Amino acid sequence: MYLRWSRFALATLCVLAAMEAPAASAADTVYHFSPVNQYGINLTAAYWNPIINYVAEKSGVKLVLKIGRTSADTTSYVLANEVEFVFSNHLFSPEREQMGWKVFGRRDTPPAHGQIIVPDDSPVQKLQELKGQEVAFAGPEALIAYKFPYAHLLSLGIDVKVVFGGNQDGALAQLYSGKVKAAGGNSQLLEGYARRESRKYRVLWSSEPVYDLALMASAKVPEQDRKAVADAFVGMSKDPRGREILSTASASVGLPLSTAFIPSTGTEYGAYRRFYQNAPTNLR
Amino acid sequence: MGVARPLLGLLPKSLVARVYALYSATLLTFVGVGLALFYHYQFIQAIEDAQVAAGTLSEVVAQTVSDSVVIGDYDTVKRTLDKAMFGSRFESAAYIDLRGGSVRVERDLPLAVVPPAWLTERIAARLYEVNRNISVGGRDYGILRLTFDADVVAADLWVLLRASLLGALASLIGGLVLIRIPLARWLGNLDRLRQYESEIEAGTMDVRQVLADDAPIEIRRTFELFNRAATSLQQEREQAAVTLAAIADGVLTTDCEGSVVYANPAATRIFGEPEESLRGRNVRDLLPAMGGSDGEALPLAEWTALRVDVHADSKRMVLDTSLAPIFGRDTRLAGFVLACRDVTKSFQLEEQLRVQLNARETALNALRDVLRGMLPADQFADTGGDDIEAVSRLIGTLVREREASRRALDNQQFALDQHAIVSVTDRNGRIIYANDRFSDISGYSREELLGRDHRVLKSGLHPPEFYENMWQAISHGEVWRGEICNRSKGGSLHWMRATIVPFQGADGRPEQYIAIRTDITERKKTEDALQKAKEAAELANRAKSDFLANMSHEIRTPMNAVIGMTELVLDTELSSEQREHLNIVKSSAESLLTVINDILDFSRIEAGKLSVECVDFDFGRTLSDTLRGLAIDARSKNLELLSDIESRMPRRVRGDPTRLRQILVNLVGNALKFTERGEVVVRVRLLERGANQALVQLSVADTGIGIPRAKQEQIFDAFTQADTSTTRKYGGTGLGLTITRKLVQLMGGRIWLESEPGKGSTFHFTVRLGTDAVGAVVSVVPAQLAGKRVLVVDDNAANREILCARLDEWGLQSTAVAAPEAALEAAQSSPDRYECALLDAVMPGMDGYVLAERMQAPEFDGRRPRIIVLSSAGPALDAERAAASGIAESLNKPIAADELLAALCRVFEADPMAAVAQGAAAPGRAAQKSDNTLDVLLVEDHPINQKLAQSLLEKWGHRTTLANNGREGLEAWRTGRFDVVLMDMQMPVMSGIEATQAIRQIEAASGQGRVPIIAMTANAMESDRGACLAAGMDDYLSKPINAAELKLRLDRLGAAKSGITLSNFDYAQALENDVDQEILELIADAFLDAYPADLKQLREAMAAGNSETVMRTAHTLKGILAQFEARPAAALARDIEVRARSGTVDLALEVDQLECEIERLASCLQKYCKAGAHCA
Repeated sequence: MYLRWSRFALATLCVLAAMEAPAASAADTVYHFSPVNQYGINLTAAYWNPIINYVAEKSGVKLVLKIGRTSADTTSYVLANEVEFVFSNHLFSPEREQMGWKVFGRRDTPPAHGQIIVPDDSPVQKLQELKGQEVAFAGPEALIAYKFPYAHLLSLGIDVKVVFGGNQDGALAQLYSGKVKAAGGNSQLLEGYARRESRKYRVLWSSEPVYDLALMASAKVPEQDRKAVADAFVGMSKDPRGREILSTASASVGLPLSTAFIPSTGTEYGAYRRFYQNAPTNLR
Repeated sequence: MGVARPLLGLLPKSLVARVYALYSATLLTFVGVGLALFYHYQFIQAIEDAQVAAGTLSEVVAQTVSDSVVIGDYDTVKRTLDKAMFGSRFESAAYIDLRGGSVRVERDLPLAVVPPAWLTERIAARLYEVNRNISVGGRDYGILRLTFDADVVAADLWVLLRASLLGALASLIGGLVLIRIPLARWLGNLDRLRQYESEIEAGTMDVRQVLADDAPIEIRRTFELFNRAATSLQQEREQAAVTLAAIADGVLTTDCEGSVVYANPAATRIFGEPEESLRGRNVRDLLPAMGGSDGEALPLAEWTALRVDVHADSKRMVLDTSLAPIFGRDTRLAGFVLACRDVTKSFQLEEQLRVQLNARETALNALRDVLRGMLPADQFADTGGDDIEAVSRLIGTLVREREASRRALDNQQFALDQHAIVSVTDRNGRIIYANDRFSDISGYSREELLGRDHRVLKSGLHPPEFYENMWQAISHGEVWRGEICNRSKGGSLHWMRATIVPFQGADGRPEQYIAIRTDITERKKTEDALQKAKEAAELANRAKSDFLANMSHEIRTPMNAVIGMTELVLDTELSSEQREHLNIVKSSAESLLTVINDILDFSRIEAGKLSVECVDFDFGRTLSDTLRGLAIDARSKNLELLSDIESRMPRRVRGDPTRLRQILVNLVGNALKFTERGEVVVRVRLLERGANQALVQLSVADTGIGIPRAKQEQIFDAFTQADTSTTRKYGGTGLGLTITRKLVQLMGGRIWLESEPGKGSTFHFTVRLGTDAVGAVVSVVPAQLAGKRVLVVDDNAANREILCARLDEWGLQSTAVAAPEAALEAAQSSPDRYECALLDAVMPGMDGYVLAERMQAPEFDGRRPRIIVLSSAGPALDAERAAASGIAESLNKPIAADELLAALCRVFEADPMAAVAQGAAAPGRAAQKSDNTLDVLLVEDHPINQKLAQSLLEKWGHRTTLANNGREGLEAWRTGRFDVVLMDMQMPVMSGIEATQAIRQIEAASGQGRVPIIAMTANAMESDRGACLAAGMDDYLSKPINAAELKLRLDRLGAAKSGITLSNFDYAQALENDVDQEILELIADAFLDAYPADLKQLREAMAAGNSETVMRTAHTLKGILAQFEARPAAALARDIEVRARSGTVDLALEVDQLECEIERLASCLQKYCKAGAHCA
């Protein structure tokens, strides 16, 4: 009798331990959050670090920021399974969507456009004048800032020499130094740069409006962690401290101070998906 | 500067060392900065080169391995990565596929140079791994990742930096060595100069000899400067030695102990010893008076001009000395310079001068003392200062002035003694001076007076306060003036006009009193006689006034009975002969009463008691009523009596209507009296119109006999007419114009006359009348009258002019003709029809009635005007004939403007509002029965007056209870209930005043309602009216009783009692239908609580004559009553407010009415609240 009760107690303990173990390991798991490097390493880190710290604290999920040198690095981290959360719009191609990444939120900014711009005092007036000229872009993975405008140039038969600046600020630095004749970019980042650096530019072309980048989680992130992180992002604007962090971070990169994160199911990114359906093969 | 100061201590002392240190620091700085810049540039360049190379390499490798990745040939991938790594700066290269598998190649070569760890870490922090996606045809296969080897990059950079550092160090050392040698040689010239200091100081050496041949030009110039300075110094020394030898003052130079080291020639002369003898001696030996014992150092402080007595060889010598210290290097005392001058002779002269000055000062002080005694303190300051001659001259001048003043005073005193009685007393009142006149009038000799108290002269006539006041004034330094009676030694009394002047002593208190008097005994006697005569005259005058008042009372009482009874008899059935006789009796009695009234008024004028009232009245109505009364006389003499009132004239004014009527009766009566034919015209003009007052000019013009210019001024004097024959011919007392002028003056105006004998006279007078909002109301001319054509037919030009002016003013079109025939022609032939004709009733040839009948003829069909006949109060036309003659209206002359306007309105069927005047003017109203029966208590002792009053009261339908005196009246009031008491003032047993006071006291004690009491008295003085009101009476009627006035009072009381005028108003319905129920609920209770207090306040303010409070309280009540839509009550409150604003507080009847209305409202309110429990 005694032996039978002892076995039962031991079995119970084992079951409880088995149930507890995943929870404990989930709490100890460190996730990597990699946003697309939109502003240069330092500025991007200055923008995201306070936000990630806040989200980690609020959600109870351990998050570490992982910034790549270029915008393509974030995609590399995704492909190499080295990050679990991203802030990106590089993952809406049909192939990458099969990787199982889920949109859980987005930044609530005015719609962005892919644009081709020249300095305000540039003699270039039409896109055709760029034929054979050097045009700077952020990086080969930049969807709004590179693929949208470059695809448009290709569709018009305007062959330009592509120069990558690594990120948007790098591309614009080449434009204003006179190294290239024009630059492609994300309208949101272009406006922020112009505000920060007191630059003026002229838009030669502008794409249809698309939503700002998406907050996405890897399929391997447990649902409860993903939800906790999503709630923390979305709840920032409702919490005075979170609102202050958002406001300060937005001011540092030239975004409106009221910029916040809102929930998303990914349906807003139809424009991106359509692009991949029609884009030239080398840009997909 | 604060920071730099401590660093200064680190500076080398030597110039050579300083320049060398500066050079070293500068060189080190430049080399250091150059090295840092070089390192920074190389660092950035190394990072950039590595990244560019990495980008290129990753792109090449990606292109190379993409084929192998697609087919899964990972061996080729590994080989490619191996080749790429060879010779590169990467630590590893890896291909990672989407499933996490990877192909990794690492380089593991030893480094030739090991860089420092800090450099490796710094480079590693700036170099990121390079990722490149391997995508083919839009499909991701994996990523290519290159990882930098920071040690390799750091080692390359370290080698370069180390070589640069060594080169810089060698350059620095070489430079420092090279600069040291020439610097020491060139700047050493200055140091060598120090070796020849003594020779240079002595001037025995040219400093340029020290210079090296290759010395720089700046140092060469500095040496030349030294040389010139040394030469200059030597020359100055030589000049100083010569100067010291030449000057007359002695100069000694000592060491710091005071021992002489140098003495100039003058010093040897002063001290009588050669320089050699002086040298080495201590100056304290030479100048023992300098103080300080042997062995003590001279005081360090320098001095100047110290005078020293030196006694040497029994010879006194006085020296002026000065001492200055000499400081050597490091500010240490090196010695002294003593300068001394022999002033022995001048010192002796000064001593003599000082003695003389002291003697002069003593004399001057003595003279100042004399002057101080002669001059006031404030003038003494300006008396010549130290000029002894000026002071002496001033004293002489003052002595002469004093003498002249003394002589003048003697003369004045002599003159004063001839005129006035003068005495002087000390501060205790003892006589210390008395002149001869004083002795003469007092009867005392001067010897008897001197030293005696001044009170010896007291007459005993003045009360003690008189002397106390006098003493109070003069003992405080004030001059006393007054009249005083003194008693002489013989006992006779003398009145003096005295002025007593106090003289202050040194202590500020009066020291002496001088009394100057003049004898006014005779004048006082005359004044006493005059005063007695005046009092006797006033007594006589008062007796005369009292006699006149009494006589007036005694005469007016029976006259009252005569007139009243005559009126009663005239109201009965009489034969025409009896009626004529009785009319004569009444007319004679009224004439007699007029004479008596004139005499009474004159006596009032003499007594200064004539006064005028200030009450609201209808000016136009008063004028027309007055003239209508006089129209009978005019008609009897076939005279036209016309009035012309300016349309701007306010209808309601404030003033004394009775006195105004009296003036008009007098002037118009005179005009009618002295006019045999023609007309008498009364004109009213508004001269000024202010906010509350108007100045009105009234003129009475006649076409009578006129008054010669010489008599025009006299006629306003009492008992004066134009000439004595006038009195005989026309009668009259001659007092009328005197009274009129006085009344006009009392009304704030003046009276004057324009007259021409044979042509007529015009008396003008002005009066000031109060006006207010009510008074400003003028007749409103209805729009229907505008443009109506009116034909005026009158043989009298003045009347035509007046009528046309009035019609034109109202907007009608008037045409005037003088003859009836002309009127017929005009009415028939005028292009436009006359819609109305004003026809004078009496015209030569054809009277107005005949003319009216003629206008009814068929030829006037379609042009027939409506006719108004203007008659002179003749017999009224019967209605049948009037209708047959087409006469629509008939007006009696003189025609008041509002009557004419009302008649026109009726004729043209215009707005009836303007016709109100006609109804108000309806005659014979006093004969009508009252609408309300009152219980009247008549308190009257005189049987005839009892009969008269009872008859009138009964005729008006009132119930009368008679009491023969005040006591009976009081008893009757206690036992009965009366609506009003008519109270005579003068009665036996108990007067009306006493009875009224008793009634009011009982009312107050018992809390019962206040019965209205109206005084009726023949006492016509204004003061009597005041006494009545003060006793608690509410109104006042003078005898003989004016029946119409009495009826008016009683009618108002009747209305108040029964509320007939206002009781038609349904307060309950108004509350139900017109009042906001919410407001009603809010204020009903508060009103019911408060209104008794408001009414009480109203009565108290009225009794106190406080018109302001009456006005304010009535205003408050008006507002609250309006809230309840209690329109009659609100109107009454408004009426009280308006009248109180004009200063009227005699409003007892109105307040009674108001209380009656409020009680009705309150009753409804209480029912309303109970029924609906509306009130909170």
